[in-house]
Amino acid sequence: MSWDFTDLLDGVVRSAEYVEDYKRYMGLPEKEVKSETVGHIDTSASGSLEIKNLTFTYAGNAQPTLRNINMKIESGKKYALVGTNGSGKSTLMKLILGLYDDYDGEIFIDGRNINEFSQMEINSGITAVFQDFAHFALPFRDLINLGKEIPSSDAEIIKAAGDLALTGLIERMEFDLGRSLGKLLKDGTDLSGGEWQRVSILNAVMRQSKIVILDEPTSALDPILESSIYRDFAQACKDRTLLSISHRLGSISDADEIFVLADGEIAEQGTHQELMHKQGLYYRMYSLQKKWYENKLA
Amino acid sequence: MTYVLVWRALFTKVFQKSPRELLFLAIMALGQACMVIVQMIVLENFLDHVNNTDSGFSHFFLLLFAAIIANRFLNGFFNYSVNMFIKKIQKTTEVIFIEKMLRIPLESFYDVDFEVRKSQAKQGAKTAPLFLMISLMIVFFNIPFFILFSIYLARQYPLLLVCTLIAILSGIFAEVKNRKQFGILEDSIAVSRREAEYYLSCIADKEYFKETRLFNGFGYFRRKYKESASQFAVQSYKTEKKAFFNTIISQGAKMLAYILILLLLLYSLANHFISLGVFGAIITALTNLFTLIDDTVHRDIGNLSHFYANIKSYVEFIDSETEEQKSDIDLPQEIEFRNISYTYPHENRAALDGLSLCVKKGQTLAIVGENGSGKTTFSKIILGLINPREGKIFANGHEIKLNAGRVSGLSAAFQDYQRYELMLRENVCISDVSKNIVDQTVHKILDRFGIFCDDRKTFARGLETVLSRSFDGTDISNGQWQRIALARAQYRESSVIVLDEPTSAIDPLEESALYTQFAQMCENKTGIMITHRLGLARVADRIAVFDKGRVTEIGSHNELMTLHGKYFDMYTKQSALYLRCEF
Repeated sequence: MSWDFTDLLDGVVRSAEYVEDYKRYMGLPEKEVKSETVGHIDTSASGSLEIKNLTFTYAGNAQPTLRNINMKIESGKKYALVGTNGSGKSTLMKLILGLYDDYDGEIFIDGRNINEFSQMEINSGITAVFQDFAHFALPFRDLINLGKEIPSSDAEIIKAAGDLALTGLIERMEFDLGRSLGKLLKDGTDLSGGEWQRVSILNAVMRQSKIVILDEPTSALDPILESSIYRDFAQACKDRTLLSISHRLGSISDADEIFVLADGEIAEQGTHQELMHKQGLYYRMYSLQKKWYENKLA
Repeated sequence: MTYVLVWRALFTKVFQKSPRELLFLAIMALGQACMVIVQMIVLENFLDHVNNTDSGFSHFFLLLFAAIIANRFLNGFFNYSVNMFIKKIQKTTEVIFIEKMLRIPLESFYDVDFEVRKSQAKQGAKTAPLFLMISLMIVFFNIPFFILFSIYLARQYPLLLVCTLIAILSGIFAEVKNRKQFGILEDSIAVSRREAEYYLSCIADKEYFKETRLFNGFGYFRRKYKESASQFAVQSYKTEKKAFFNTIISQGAKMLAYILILLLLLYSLANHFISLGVFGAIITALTNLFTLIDDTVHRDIGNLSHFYANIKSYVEFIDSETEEQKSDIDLPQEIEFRNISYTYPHENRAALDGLSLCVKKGQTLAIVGENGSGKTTFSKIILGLINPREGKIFANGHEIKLNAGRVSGLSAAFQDYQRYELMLRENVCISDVSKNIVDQTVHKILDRFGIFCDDRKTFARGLETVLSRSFDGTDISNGQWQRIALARAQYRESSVIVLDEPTSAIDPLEESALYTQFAQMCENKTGIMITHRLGLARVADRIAVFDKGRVTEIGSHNELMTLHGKYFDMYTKQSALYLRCEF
């Protein structure tokens, strides 16, 4: 009897605690979701982006991470964003993707303020490859078609995978795109770091978004792939707007425009040639990196 | 392994570490069993006394009163303290699990089967204390109680004993059958449970949620989660249903036995086979007994069989063979690898295929090659994290056994280095816990890698800053993490240092500084660096080009360039990125 009673009492007290936690969780502030439907692609979208007087401070930080950013990105052109570690590159990318709301200033996609977009609309208008991209242990086909209204066919996926030097992986999977990536499931195929990176790039390519952002996409790629991946990617995204974030200055030097971020501000902008003539931060970074490939090591 | 063997293995493991807790449980249980019987005998005497004399109040009444109070007190105390003991034992079983994990060879982690067994064993570590407690209760309370009660019954009227045994056995029979069912169930749902957990983490975990949102993947994962969860539920339901039928049959048998006992008792009383006192004592004890049978059979044995599959995995996991990690050679001067081959579990293609290479102290070696050429696998072999399937390894000229951790005094920074959600200081010092932590040393090393812990803007509490926002600290950038990973590798006392792609997330200014530091870092050490940055590889004394799990070219930068082979090809391509567009 005493067993039942103490047991019950114990149970009630303990569950009451969990109920509190649950209540607190359910009471967390929510982001307004404007539309629950799967975002569809606005075919009239051109893929231009404009940022005006953007300032952003992380909650709990005293100093703003980004200060007074102004950027104009025209549709179909290729842009690069470079800068030192901690200069705010990744934060800027997250703001453009609509992951944070509480910023000062304005961001426009195709001339419309992103406040007016639903998250779904932003998601289908812009796609991104993150530096710390997730290793989704899903069937290959499902990953590529994740959240897409019109799924890509296997033939399309295999062809695009070939363009990104993923033929080896497809062969290992015996051309069965229903097999899982990673080792979660028994039939899963393990991928190397470079393969994961190319799969995440492929995933971005296969999305029809007009704007594509690449955050440090070549860090795990070997020199042969690195030298061609930007070109292949630009080729695959011919009519799309491309914004690459990279520390490998050699591989982004042919961008239409390069933005140099320093301490949360745009310090320099222009083409490779213009920035080299300026002899500023970009020049210094580029020269340092280049030095390692010059005939005589200093 | 049979049921008894599993139990014995678990019991001896835990008894070695927490003997007092187990002894306490056993003694308390035995004490309670005796008390119940004592109470019964006192009740019999009291009733007979009241029946035979007219005065109701006597020392028998006081005795009965004392017996009931003592019984309740003991019971209450036990129930109150048992949770605490369970917690203590749980700590023991989990520590045993963790200690075992440390001895598991790394290659096991590439095996899906191992993951399943591991998660079952982990579950087993959690339920083991309850399992032990319940089984101790059965051995030291239920069984002694049944035996004592049986002796009592047999002395009064043997037929009563027969009926009671029928009631008990029918319950046990159903549970044994159910146990098998749940064993099968646990094996079959382990995979779908893991899947369901994974899909949930794809929606909610920090690692995934950014992209899940970006790709509008929520609906997909919700559907997948529902699929796995319902598969899980359907399988559980089927088993529960089978178990339910078994239970109905055993309950029916028990009910019949109960009615039979009552009739027998009334008959015996009417014919004066037993006294009124015995009748009263048995009737009271019977209520206790049947509650107890219900509890034992449906709750306790039910729980035991529920836990059993996981407990079995736990015991098997703990007892599985792992080689003792003993290093033959500390701080080696030279390591030579001959014809090393390695294939990952469940893969067809060899990651390393007859690779030979020698590394000497004081030299720096750069390893370059295409993605998938076996560079990272080789680094794991050097560090003794995985064992080659074939080949020989020599340290300082002596052949060494191919077991994990065969050489000590090695340090490394991996491509996928760990971001511990701990203090900055701990994040550096974790690489060598044998050293006494001197803040000045940590400071100096961090400074060298461009992490300035006095910069209160980033590190509000200096070395004490926790590197995670979820623990009231700060989130730092990938580049900063990478530098901490290098500082961590440097901190460890070592003669060999392996750096796998050490600068991939570092900006050009830092990178250049780190390249120059690399030579310093490897001073008096063997430096092995895996990199795609051929500019960095040039700094090394020798460069080894890996291709399909073998070394195809080896030599200095200049030597390799004159070969006009793979290295030449790669270097030309990469340097072209910097040299083509001149202004």
